[in-house]
Amino acid sequence: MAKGKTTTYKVPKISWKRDFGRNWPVYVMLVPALLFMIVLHYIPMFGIVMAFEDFSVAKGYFGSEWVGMKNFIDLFTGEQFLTALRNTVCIAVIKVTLGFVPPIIFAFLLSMIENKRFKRICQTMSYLPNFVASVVVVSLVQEFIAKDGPLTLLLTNVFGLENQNWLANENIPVFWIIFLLMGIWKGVGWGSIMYVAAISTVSGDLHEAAAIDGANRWQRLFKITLPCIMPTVMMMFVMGVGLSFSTGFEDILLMYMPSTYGVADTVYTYTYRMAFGVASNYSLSAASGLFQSLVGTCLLVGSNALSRKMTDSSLF
Amino acid sequence: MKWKKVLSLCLAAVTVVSAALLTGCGGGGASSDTSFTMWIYLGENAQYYTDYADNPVLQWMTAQKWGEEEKQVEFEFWIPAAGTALDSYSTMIGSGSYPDVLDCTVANPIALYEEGTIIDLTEYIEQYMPNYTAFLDAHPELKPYATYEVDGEQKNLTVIGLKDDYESIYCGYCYRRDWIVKYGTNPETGEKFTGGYTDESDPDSWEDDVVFPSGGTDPVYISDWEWMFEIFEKAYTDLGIDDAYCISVYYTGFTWPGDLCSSFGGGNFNFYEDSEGKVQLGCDKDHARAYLKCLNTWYEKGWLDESFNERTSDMHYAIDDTAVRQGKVGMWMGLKSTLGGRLDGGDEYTDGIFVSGCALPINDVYGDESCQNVEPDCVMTKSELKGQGYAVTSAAKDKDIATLLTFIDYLYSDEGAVLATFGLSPEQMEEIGTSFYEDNGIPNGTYEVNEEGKNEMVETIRQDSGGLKNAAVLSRFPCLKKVSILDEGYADSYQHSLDLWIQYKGGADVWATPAVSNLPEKDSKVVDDVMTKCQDYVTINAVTFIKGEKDIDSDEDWGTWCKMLEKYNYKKALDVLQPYVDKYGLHANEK
Repeated sequence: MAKGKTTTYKVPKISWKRDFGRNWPVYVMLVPALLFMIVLHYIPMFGIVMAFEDFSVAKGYFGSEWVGMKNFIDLFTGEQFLTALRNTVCIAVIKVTLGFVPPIIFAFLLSMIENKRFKRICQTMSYLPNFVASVVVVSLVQEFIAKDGPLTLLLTNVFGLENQNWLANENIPVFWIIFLLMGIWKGVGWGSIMYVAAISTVSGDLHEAAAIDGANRWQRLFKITLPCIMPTVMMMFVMGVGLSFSTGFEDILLMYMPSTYGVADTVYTYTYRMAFGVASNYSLSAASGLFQSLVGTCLLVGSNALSRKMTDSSLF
Repeated sequence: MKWKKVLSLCLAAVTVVSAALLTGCGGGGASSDTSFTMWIYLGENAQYYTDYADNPVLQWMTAQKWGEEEKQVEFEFWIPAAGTALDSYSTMIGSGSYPDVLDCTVANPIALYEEGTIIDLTEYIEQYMPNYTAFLDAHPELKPYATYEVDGEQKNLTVIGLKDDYESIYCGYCYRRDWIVKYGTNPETGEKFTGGYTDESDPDSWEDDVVFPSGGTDPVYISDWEWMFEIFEKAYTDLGIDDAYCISVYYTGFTWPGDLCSSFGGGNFNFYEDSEGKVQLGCDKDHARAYLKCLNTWYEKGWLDESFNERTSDMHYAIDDTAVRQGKVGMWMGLKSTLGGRLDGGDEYTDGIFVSGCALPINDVYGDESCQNVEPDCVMTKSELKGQGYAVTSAAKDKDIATLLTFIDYLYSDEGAVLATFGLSPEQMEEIGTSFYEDNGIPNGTYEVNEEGKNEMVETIRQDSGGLKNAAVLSRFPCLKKVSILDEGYADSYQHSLDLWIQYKGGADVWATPAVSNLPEKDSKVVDDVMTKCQDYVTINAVTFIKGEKDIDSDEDWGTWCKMLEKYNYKKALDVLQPYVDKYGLHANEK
């Protein structure tokens, strides 16, 4: 073949009907997921209208008074809003940077285990925290880092740190680190599933050839495994960035206290207090939800573009 | 063709007849339907029953015949799972699938009426509830709670639960009286106190000669409390408790409705009515500053729990309960079950413990004259004569509401009120064949008539803390409670503590009074909005004054606090509230 010439293969066009006739079981399998998305995600989107109304449960969407952007103005001019926004951004950044790596490392470690039985046990054990209710996880954290908690005593007696209830610490970035570590403990196993699956698709021939050429485990990991799973890593990164602004903050409601609002309050928790304080204000809550979703969408699109530009790999 | 015509005619005839029959059924059965669905905020302890229709008093009531037509009334109860009442309520109202009768614990009756969800009961009550009306006529101070102002007219939108006297409450301030005896001395003579149990097996058989600096046998003033704290410190030193404290407070540093804050000249941190009938926001007033100064002083002296702000998941009546039960705390807001010698675990800190209840204190130390020697008038843990409201919804408009209200009205008669307050008599049990009382160790019912002619609770009820009494009587249904003839049967020292807990009746707190419940929706939103913002600011910053991060003595720091509150435009909320306080407040009759 002459140098510089490439051969292109044309994929023959198949009509939708023909494809359906040939692959109908696949389409049938799509139906539940499609229904799920429509019923639980697309239809409720109509609720966005609440953000522009003075919503009343009894009057409903069509009977409530239209107030335009008032709810957004109320939200953005709130006394604590800027602090909450700063905390949200910082926690999100920490989550998508420091919190993103441990599941990948864990997946690598799992892939190195040769004893299948032990590997399965490790995997199962690591998934368990994901199924523990947030309130239980937070209670455990509170017990461990209370003034007389075992971790606090360890930090005091071994590292000489001040004996204190770490959750009551008002200094940056103590609360953020606690939140990050709790998230890692809870999600490292579950978050590694995609990477483990991706690693399992890397051809053994590549590893075998590299091993014959004298590559050690580290070299095989960085030169073969990591590049092979990079599309998956980037996909997870893009999704993580998109969701970073709006997920995981329920735990903070259980963990924070008025004296740590300065470092722990997020847009989610701030909205919760404002919207469900003395009386329920569903409209303010909807406005905040819409704001967080819009920011999330911008982050998703932005990170996807960045990923495409830097690694030639993107989600869409 | 002929057959087709005949068939068509037959079908048309069947359709017309069916429609007529169905309409007839609906019309004829509607007003005679005495089966009602009812949503209640909370059920009883599931140990006894989960369906409130199994309540023995209701069983007896539903077995009787009511009204002119002598009909039986049936109920199907809707009870939300614990902690989901608000969601359950929102779902019902939002979806339009609400029951016939609605517990209004989380509802705004005026808004529900204006939306057409609940109906006006005024005429029904006038006609079918003579006992209820008579009781309210005899107690005009309760009438504002029973009616709502709609378009300038007073309407009965709900039927409210009532009591004929103040009942003891579940919690109040408690202190280690045994430590006062052991470590204290008479403030006048300097002699050591004496006292102890007269019967070791009876947790209430305590006698002593304790006298407080104010001269009485119970603490009355803040100075009495501080005198006690000094004695508790001696106890901590003697017992070697190094993680002890004298008192803790709710994690925000205060409670919105009042209590301890109200001890500093009246008022609370919330909206309250002052002695001249003017509505005020309490958190930037002198009494609030005096209160914060007091707590700051206690904190600096080590009397106040240094981790109080971290105890966010503790209920106000069980703060740091573990330390209390370990005998490490001198004073706390606690339940009835901590009184007397009931915490005695035989260990070094609780051995020989005797816990007494006390009233809220009166400030005689902090702030200026306006903050001193004034009885608390905003009491969260108060005993009230009015109870929950219950509304009839539009879902029941075609049902026999007259018979329903006749049924309910019986519970406001002397006989019915006794039944609701004390449960079934043995004859009534036999009449309906219930084994509820026998199964739960009270075969003869909840009470026995004592020498004074009062209904004294039986031992099993007195010792029970699991909700047996509530399950055996009628607690989640509109009725009159005959508290005046109730004798809980407690020992004198125990009853004395309970009496002290309800010594101050309160009533100046504007929240949850007719002044707020009569606000139109638009005004209500103004007040709610201000309150939400003030609440957030004060909750965050009160702790900084108590812990000394901000100086409560500094006019600059206090000025910043006041300016921030002003920024939330609370004066607008005061303007909105004032006409309603003038009309329904404590001083309404004087204006």
